[in-house]
Amino acid sequence: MKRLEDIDRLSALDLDRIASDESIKVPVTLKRDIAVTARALEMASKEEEEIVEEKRSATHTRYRKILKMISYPAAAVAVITIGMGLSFQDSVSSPKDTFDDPRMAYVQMEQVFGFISEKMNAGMDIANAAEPVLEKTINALK
Amino acid sequence: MRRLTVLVAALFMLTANVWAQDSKGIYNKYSDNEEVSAVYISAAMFKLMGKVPSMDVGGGSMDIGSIIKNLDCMYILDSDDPIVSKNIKEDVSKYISKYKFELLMEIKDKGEVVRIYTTGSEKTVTQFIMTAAEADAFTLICLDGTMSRAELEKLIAKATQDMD
Repeated sequence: MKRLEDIDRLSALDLDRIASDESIKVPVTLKRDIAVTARALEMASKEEEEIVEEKRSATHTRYRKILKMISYPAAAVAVITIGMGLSFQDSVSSPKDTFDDPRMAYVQMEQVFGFISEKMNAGMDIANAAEPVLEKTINALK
Repeated sequence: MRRLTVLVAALFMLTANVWAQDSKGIYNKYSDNEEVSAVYISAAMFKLMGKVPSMDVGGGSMDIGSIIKNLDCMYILDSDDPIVSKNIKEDVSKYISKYKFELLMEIKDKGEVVRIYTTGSEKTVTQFIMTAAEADAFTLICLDGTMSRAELEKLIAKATQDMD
């Protein structure tokens, strides 16, 4: 049987001569052996692809789980932040002026101070009405 | 995870509620209500009003120009609806107790309770609130700004002198 080194040493002409030599018989099982080897190679390749795919899928699933874990609170935080923002904006934003005309606003201010004064005067009325009674009591105690 | 979401949502609602109790928050909350009469005057409008020479208050003339020029805003909420009045009153009470207002005056007369509150420092008043509550009605007057306490007291004293 020829070794690989012997084949390497052969020239192209030698190889051509050997190939056309019909006295050398091809083993009967060669065709089957080649087919088996090809099938084995194909299976090995497929298996390798499956392993790679499994690994990729496992990584993908892990990422998906992590993403799922993060996405719910993230969505909740986003909704809350938007809600808080809107709520805050609504609660602290400056309301619109009731009057466009400063003279109308002036009249309103007059009424407001008049109202405050009226209420305070009513309080003073009560206090004044109580004053003689208070003085009488103080005098009696003296 | 759901518990966390519910907790965060509860915290959000609580925070939103606290915000809603803030001064302008109270105005914003009720100003669009059909049962409420609302008035808002901004600092810009006060500037437009220019120099206010005097106002007739309590039967006398009063110079409120010095107070007005330092006002950031003034707003009024007024309602005769029992439920709305009750809600505004509760929100105002919460706000007043939260920010530790000083009760300047309380007048109880013919079923009406009028309270005047101020907050600020020894020399300045940053907020002046007046509430007038009846059985089914409530009025809130709020003045925001940096008012001189002395000026405000002078204004009040003048108003009470004028009735003598």
